[in-house]
Amino acid sequence: MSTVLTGTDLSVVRGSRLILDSATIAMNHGEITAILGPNGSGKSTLLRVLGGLWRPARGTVTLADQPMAHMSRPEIARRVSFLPQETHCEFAFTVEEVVGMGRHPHRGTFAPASERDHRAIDNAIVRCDIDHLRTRTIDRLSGGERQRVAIARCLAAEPTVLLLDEPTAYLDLEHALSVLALCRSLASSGTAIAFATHDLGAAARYATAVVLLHGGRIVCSGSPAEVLTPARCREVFSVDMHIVSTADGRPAFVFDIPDTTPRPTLVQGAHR
Amino acid sequence: MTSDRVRPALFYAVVIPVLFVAVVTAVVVGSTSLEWQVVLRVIAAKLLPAGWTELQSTRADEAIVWLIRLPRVLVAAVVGAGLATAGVLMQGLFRNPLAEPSLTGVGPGAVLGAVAVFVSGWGASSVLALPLASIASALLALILVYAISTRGGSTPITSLLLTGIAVGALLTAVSSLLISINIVTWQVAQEIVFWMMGGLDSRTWAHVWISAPFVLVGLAAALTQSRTLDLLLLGEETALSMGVDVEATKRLVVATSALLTGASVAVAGLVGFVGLVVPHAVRLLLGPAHRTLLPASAVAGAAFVVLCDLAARTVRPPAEIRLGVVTALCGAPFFLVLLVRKLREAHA
Repeated sequence: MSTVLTGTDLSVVRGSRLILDSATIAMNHGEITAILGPNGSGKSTLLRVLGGLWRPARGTVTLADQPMAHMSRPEIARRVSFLPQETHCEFAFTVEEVVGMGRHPHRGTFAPASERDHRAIDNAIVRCDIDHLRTRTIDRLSGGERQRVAIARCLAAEPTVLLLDEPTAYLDLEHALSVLALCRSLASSGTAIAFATHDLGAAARYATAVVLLHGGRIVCSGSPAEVLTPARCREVFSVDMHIVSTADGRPAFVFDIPDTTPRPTLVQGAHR
Repeated sequence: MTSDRVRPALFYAVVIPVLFVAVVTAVVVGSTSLEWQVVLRVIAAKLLPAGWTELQSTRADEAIVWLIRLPRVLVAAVVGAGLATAGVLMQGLFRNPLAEPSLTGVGPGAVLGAVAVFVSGWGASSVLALPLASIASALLALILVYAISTRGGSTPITSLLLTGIAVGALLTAVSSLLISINIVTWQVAQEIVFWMMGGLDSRTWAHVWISAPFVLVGLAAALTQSRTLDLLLLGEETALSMGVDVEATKRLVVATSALLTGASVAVAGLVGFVGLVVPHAVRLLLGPAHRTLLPASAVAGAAFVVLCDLAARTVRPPAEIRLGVVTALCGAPFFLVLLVRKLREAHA
């Protein structure tokens, strides 16, 4: 698998705080990287720097062997798509219009949409299974539908790298899984994908690589089985992790607050 | 719900004739009523090369049409187009369909410039003193607001909004101070009060030439940003990730809107609700995409203000109602209806 995007020794400072500290990461074609860590550990920051949205204070991001610092914004946007956490919009754009906006980095200021633009938009719509929503307005969609539209908007740019910041955060189980399944199918056609998540189980099931962040530093990276161990889980998330096996032999996780931590009395009372 | 939009072609097929009829009617109607054929003939004679039309009108008719009524109607159209376009830009920038042009301190800035001219008596020296002073002070207010709310090259929208409100309040206080000091001179106070209610009495071609270029340039500048404005509505981070230079876009949009608002306020005084209501109504009909919304709002804004000014002149002749009063009387109820509908939707 060839590497498409690398971040080397990336540090980001906000105010006087170091929120990302010497992070190094490589993303390969066809690979799904899960970025894990507690709140405030630097997951979003890492994704923003990799997507060229923020310039790192130190370190370099390289896109297809070219330093990102020397590339223009549209140039980056043509190859790297980023899905922010919050994509709420009060304005009644149609689904087709929103997906069409994904073509922005490929189009001139006044250029009408070309044949290729239309094809990319149609492909993205079909891929995300939102063809039946085309003429609906986005303010009337459910959270799951809206997220698929947002991903379709990313795909319309025909990126080689897709960065998703907690893409399943507000979704119910079925929609969350369908987003992850979509990621898997995109990766199988060569897209390099990274997504931030709090769902360790999803990371273990869908990611081919895992990066574990804690306090702005990468604690560990590698295959899900290497990274997601009970010891590391306790170190980073301060919870006990038990690995159990499902009927088909795949690992599943059960989490517990460690016994040393006093349990909230209210919860105990509720159980009785 | 599927989007139930009106086709832009249908929209223009209705609004452009309405604008044309409104302009002609506004020139026809007045203390001396003219025939519409006379009006069209005078306009044609002025616009078309000599010899193409036979001028069969009196000198008096010609003066009424060409020197008195038409410039006023055109200023109304320019102001309406300018304020509506500025409203579209502000609503896009603040990602809020209820934003309006004076939020960035531009409105109070323009008022202070005008009040200074009234109080100092510079207005007597040239007909241009008032509009130029209010455009200049509108832009100065904007620069002040932008300078305060920008940190490390980025201007968060919330900072811009809050600074705009605070600076606006301060400038309004200074205006009020100047007015209260000078209120003993009743004539000055009356002029100021009238101006603050907006109005187009005795506007001339000079006023057209002052405002129209700004509004045309502003509309053109806005149109170059139509796709980036669409992306901004999806959030700054999304826009940034799509290759948009977000900070540069914000600067351009705010400056354009200030130019449009400043030029409009300069020739018409404070005319409220146009920038709020017209874009909102047009968006309901045509959808939020700026490439359609911007020109459509400009045309609809022009028609709206021409009609409001016609009403202002003709409801209680020979006296005039102030234009700002008419636009507010039409606009505020519409705004309330929208608000109630929104609240009901949120509740349902």
